[in-house]
Amino acid sequence: MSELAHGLLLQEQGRLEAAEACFYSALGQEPENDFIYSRLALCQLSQEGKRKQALESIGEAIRLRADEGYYHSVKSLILADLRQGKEALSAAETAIGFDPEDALALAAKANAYCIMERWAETEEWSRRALSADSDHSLAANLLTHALRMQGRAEENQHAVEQQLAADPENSFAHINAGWSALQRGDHKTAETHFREALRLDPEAEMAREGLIESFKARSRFYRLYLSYCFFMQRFTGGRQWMIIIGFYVAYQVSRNLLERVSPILGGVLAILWLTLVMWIWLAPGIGNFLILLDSSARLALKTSEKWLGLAVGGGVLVGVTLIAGSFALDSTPVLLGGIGLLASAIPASLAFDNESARGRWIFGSITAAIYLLTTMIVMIESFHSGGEEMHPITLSLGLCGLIGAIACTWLGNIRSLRQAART
Amino acid sequence: MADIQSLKQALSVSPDNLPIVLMLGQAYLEEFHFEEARAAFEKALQLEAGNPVARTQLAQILELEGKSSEAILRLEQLLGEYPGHAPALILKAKLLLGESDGKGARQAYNHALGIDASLADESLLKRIREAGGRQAGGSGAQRGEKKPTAMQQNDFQAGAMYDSDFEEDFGDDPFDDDQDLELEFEQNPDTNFDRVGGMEAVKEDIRMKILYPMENRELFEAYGKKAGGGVLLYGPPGCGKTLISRATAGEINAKFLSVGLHQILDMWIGKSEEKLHEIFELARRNAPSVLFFDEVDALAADRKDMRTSAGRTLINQFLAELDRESAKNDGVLVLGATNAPWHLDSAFLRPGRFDRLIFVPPPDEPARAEIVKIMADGKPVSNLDPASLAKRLKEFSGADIKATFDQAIEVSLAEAMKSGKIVPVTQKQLMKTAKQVKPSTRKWFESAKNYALYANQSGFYDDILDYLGIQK
Repeated sequence: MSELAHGLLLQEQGRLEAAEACFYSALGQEPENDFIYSRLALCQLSQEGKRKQALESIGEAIRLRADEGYYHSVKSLILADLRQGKEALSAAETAIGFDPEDALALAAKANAYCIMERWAETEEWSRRALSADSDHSLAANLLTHALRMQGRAEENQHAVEQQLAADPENSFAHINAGWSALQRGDHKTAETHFREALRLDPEAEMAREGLIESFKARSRFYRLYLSYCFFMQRFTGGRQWMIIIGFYVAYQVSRNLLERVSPILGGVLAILWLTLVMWIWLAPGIGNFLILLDSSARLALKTSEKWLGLAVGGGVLVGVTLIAGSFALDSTPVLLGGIGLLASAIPASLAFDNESARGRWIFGSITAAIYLLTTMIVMIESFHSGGEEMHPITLSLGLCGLIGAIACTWLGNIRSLRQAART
Repeated sequence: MADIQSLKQALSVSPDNLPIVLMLGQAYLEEFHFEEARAAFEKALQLEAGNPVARTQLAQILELEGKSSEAILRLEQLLGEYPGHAPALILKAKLLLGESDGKGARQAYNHALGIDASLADESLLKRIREAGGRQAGGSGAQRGEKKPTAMQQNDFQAGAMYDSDFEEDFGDDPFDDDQDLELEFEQNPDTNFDRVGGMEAVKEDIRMKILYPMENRELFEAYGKKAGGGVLLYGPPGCGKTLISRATAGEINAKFLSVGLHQILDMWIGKSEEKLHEIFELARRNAPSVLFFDEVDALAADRKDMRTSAGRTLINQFLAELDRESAKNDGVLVLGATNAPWHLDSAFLRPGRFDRLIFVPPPDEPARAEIVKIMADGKPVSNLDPASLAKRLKEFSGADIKATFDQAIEVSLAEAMKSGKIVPVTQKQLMKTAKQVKPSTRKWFESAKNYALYANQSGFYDDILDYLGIQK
């Protein structure tokens, strides 16, 4: 059997590494074969950490045969996977230039818009792709995703139902249905769809993540957090920042106005604001902690997610208990220990299950620093005999810890500190 | 081997005792003290001129010092005088293998085994085969092979060996092959469960699912169950699925035919199916036999994933071969090994096909110790303590242990190149390297866990959950 035929068979069976080796071997015999380069690129695209190699391979195919629109579509998909939206859009437009009715090229353009979080254009071009080929699964997935991101729940549900009717064994369709249900607040239906998606494809990471979210969504408070996330997802990164700053300015203005009327009302608003901010950051970790208490559900968690649950949920639980206990014991060290643990939960929420290695390092370091500062403060106050007054060093250390925790609520919005660089 | 000090004491009492001199030389050699070993073997030659053991060991020292040509020359002289000295032939096979002469190495190896079968060395044979040292000669059928007797076809019972006529068909050579299919039959493999260290749970599973049914064939039939058929071994890569399959063949005194993907797949339409049929026919002709398909998921992949009809036709052919009437496949045990059982077409898991699943987990501690010994064999390793190293190598597959040795050897080799002398790999170096190598089985279990949790409706993967300590 030729290396190429062998490679194609292996690729079909999903044995991608073996297929890749066969394609390289085939290229040794036919170094100017653009088709082999294109298959190699597809093989590499489906393997984690090989996207740049995939880009090089499809580049070679295009060098050998620049007038093949399919190769430009594949290039666009690779670039989109590398989160290079503008370049992906350009490659897709080149592909459409060769064949304006090619469904893959049209879907590639929709995909490029999707990466750029331009949902209206994603919807438009995925609809065009579907009009060229009504069974195009990439276009169908993009359409449901775009509708969901625009908050058009009914249309989204209709599109998902169509997708499932066309292919009930399509894992991705069930994932879409699950997220759609979750967005509607129907966590039971979501769980059913995510379980079905995992049965069809147990390695579908999106389905596993969805299943975990559906477990967490059993809590009404977590569903509120999810609603906030779905709301924010509708906007691009820049707009999200504007909304966050807008909320903050509105809070400050409201608090100032209320304080003029009644300082108590201003204080209540400040506590509400603080609770809201804390909840937004701590909800995923607390959710993981609650899942850990469920012997069946916790099997879905990865090790890093379990650590997140323990550090955040455990930190909050122990922190709140210590604060409550401090009033009963009238103990300043216990109170400060509890506050320190609560503060540590904010950077901890970004330290464990973070795609970005740099982000893990930064937030992990801040978490460790707050743990250390809290320990020091508790020790200093335990041995301090200054009556009601705290030791001056305690105040300085405590301020450092709080600044670190508050800084994380802003740093955590920087995407590069939460997303891994694609390779 | 007695330690050097006690041997030296023994020699001080009896300085002309040839066996003690040879043992002392051997002890020095095992510690890579070449000069002392050479002196001992030369003294042995003074005591008995031309002693073949001492001369073989002197040649061995030359080989370890990198003087292969001189070693071969000395061995040739020795074998000219003592053509039946099997250890010298084994050493010659190793030296020829080092010079990429697979055929010459195979010839020397077979010659040695013909004289002393206890010198069989699976790892050496494997390396010889990889170097092109496959057995010459036509297939059994081509050579007018007799059909096996009824006993051979039906009797898998322990102790029921081939009769003399059957032995004659294959000659003295322990291997037979089919050149058209590029296959090599290993007749009555010398590996059995005793030669596989550890893996007791897997062995017991195989006894229950394969061996006892074959030994109690009639009892099983009384309950409407059939012995033989297909068994699927699955588990992480590099964890001994092939070895345990070969040992299973050894346990039932059957011939072992290992089939790789490359031996079946053919670019011409229909040719792959033809080859697959020929392989089954070959196994049927040579029953009792074990037909072992490595990476069976590649041949039996889920047809839903197949876009081309060619792949589907091959799968249908495979199913048809497994479904032959029981009489035709009687005496043929089909073993399949896979790292990805979830990629198999569900049709293969139905009764009469691969209806028994055996999970082969990463090697346990005794098995790892055995692998360590095999890896160290023939390499300059000193102060080796396989048991303590095996403890450190928890979760390691055979391939991971090999990677550990390779990395440690590279370090010693770098030092040897600087000093110009052989620097043995030490236990300490191996322990240090083991910390740097991450067990590859973890990644497999990450995937396997997902399948066991979410796609385990029929309970196929319960063994994985048990191994991971997960109670669902």
